[in-house]
Amino acid sequence: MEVQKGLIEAFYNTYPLEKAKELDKSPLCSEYELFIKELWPSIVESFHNSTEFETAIRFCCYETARKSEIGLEERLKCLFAILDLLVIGNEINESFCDHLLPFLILEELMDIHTVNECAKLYEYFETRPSLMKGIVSNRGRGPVLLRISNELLRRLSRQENSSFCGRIDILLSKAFPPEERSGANLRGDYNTVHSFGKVELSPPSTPISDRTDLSYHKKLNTLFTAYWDLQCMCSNPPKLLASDTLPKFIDAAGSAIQAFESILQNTFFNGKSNPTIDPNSSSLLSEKYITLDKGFPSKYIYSRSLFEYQLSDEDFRLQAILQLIIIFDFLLDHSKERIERRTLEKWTNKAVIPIVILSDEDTSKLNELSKEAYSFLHTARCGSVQRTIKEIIHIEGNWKLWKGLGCPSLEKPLVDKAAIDEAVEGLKKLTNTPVKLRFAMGNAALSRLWEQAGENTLDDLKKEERYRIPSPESFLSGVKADKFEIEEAVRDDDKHFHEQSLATKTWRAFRSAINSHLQNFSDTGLGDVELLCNSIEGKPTTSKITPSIPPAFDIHIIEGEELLEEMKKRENVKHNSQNFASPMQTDAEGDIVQNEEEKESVEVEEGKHKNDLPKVSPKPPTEGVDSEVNGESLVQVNKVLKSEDDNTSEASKDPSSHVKSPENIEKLKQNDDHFEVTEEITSTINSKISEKQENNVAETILEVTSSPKSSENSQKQSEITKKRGRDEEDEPSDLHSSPKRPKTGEDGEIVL
Amino acid sequence: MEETAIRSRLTVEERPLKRLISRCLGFAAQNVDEANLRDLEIEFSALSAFWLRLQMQLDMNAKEVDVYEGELKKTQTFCEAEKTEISQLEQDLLVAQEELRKREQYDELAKPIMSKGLRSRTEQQESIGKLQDAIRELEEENANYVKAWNLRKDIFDETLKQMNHLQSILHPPSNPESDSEEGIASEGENPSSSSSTQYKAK
Repeated sequence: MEVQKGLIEAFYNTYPLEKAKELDKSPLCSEYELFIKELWPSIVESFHNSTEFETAIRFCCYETARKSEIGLEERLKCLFAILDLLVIGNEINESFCDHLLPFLILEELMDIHTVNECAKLYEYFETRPSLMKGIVSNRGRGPVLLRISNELLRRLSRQENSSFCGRIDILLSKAFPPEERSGANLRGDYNTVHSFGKVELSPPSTPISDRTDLSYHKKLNTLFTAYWDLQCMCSNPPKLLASDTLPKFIDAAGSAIQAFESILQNTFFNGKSNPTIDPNSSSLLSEKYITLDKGFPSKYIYSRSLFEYQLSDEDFRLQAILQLIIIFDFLLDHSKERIERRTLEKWTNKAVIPIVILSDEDTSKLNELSKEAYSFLHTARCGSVQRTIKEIIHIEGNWKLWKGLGCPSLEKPLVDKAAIDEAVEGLKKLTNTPVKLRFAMGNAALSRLWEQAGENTLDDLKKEERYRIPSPESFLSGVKADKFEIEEAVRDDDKHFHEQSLATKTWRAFRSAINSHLQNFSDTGLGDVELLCNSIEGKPTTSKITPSIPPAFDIHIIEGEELLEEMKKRENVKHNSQNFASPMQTDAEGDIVQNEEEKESVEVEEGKHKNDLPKVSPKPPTEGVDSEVNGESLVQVNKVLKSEDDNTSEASKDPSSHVKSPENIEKLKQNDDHFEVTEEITSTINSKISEKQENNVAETILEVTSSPKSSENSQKQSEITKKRGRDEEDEPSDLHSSPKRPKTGEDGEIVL
Repeated sequence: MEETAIRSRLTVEERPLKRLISRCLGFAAQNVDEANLRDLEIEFSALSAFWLRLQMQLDMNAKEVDVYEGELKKTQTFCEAEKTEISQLEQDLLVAQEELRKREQYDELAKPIMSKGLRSRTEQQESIGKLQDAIRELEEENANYVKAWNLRKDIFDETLKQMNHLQSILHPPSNPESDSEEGIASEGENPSSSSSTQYKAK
């Protein structure tokens, strides 16, 4: 004990712990490092050798750990300060302070402290990432770290301390590279330590009386046994590949998946008299996705009475489905397709290559079951969980491939030196100064080209011809040449070409002449360049103008003569008419009128006599009436024609204005005659119609009287024949009446 | 697995002891000197530190064992309490089921009564009173009826006697036909009774 106290005092005299804690708030900072470097010589002097120093460190740590009156955090700060001293001491003097010492001390501290305290103590590694650099699993600090971690994992409970277990695994994954073989599980072993035994169905404690409940409970019992058999099988997947076990597994998995789907569709609990979930309730969705408070993990609680509530828990069902999906993927790795793929990929790790091969039937069944399981996930969680699981299985497939190829290093190989040299050379080529140009501006070559240019020089561009508007006279020679060529052209193409060139030249000549020679356009005729030039020069053009004027002027002269003649004739006619009209009007008006009336009466009588003849002719009597009508109309037409002829003849005989007035009078009289004739005709027609109507009435009366007496058809036929006879008898009366008409007509005329 | 872990652990923990042993052997060969003595003290102090760690480890293990035992006891007590509660609940369930059965029987009996429709208590009492009055009247009528019946019997007997008397007076026993007929019937059927003959005669 005295030695222990002495060592502790010596250590604390040389190492002021309070100041070290203050400086060490940010772990292993530069200030703390300088502080330690200053103190290090005195520390080395105070101890005889490294063993004594280590012993002193241990005593201090144990003493600090034993002090329960100080809080855990304060104790940990002291311990961490001591450990940091060791880390920096190793950097300063490797021989005096070994690089394993902080890890060994920490291992001993882990052994001393309880599990909850170790959780805090382990933070030393998490807060000092520099310690993890260069760690290798087979020598140095690596084995000590692994030993510490594995010991802790062995002490911890996976159920209660799951977060601490995760922290340890994360630290190890950071410290060691992913291709570390000790963590790869090269043989593909399964953890079968925690497998549980077979679950037997205990007899129900409460009696079951209803038949519906009986069927329901039978269904539930079968599912209970199937589910827990599945759990037994899933605990050791390689055993499933035996010929006896696989069919059982497939049947149990199928029944479980179907049951879960029916639960999701809310039809599983219908058989119960008092269902746990009411299928007709309005709050279906909340109950459908029920999640009990802590859940029922599927490993340890397998009571029959609780199974119903486990099934209603969504997490329970999802956990079971996930488990089955993973097992399906494992089993399908033994299908023929994947084995062929594996041979193509050339796996070298024989321990992982499967020995058993699935049959086609089993493969198809497992594929169907996996599809059903994924569809269940899709309906239950809308596809998000499904995608996550597929991705995870895909990634695991890649890890399997990596393992099958013998765990190659994940580091890419270094680039070849030749490739690097080539790259360097290429870069040098690109960065070299460019080659100088052969010539600069104003060199000899350009001067030579400039001198030999000939007419294509800058001075030539300044000539007046290039920018001055040409005068009309300059086009004259071209115009003459084109005209000559047009006359002598043989081909149509040449002719057209020259015509167009002539047109363009003419246009340009007149266009240039607009500004300065507009007054001369009147002398150019129809666009003649020669005339334009002559007028501009002031030459006489009277001899040329005269031949172009006559044709248009001649046409107009002819028309003018005709108009003059007509005007003269009209004037003469007017004078004559005035002279002749005045004496005749006063003298011969009455006589002329009387004579005309007599003539008209005679003509009318002649027309009527002519009309009578065709009536007497042997035409059918029914048509007689029509002929009469036509005859009268024809008579009218003839009269009109005659009157017209008379008019013309009279006009020719008596060329005077007085002649017109008696013509008008005659026309009026003729019209009156026509009206009278038409009236007579209509009256006769009406009388005939009335006579016929009377006859018809008599016939109808006879029929009425005879009908009730006689009913024989023969009598009716005789009556019909009688009717026909009567009609025939009536016809000659019409003939008798027809000759009377002209008489009445004659009387009318006489009256007139 | 456990044995391998223990062995690997022992190989680590044996190191300070082996070191001390080797040092002591070395010291035996050398001369006694202050430096050597100090070195020897240092080695022994290291061993004492090792032992101190082991002691602390044992204490920590004992502490954890106490914690786990406490949890175990707590769990066991909880299980026992739950079991008792379960058994009690089962008994309550049986009682409740029996009560439910009785209620169902009562409901079956009560349905036809309830379907007719109920009347108030006052109405029921009035109807009971009326029924009792009716019963009383019927009893009285019954008594009167008995008296009337007895009276009619007496009258009938008297008329029969008088009839027999008249018949004996009007018709003497000298008629052979009537006597022979009556005699045959009386002898064959009812020889002892005399009233039956009278009935038949009528």
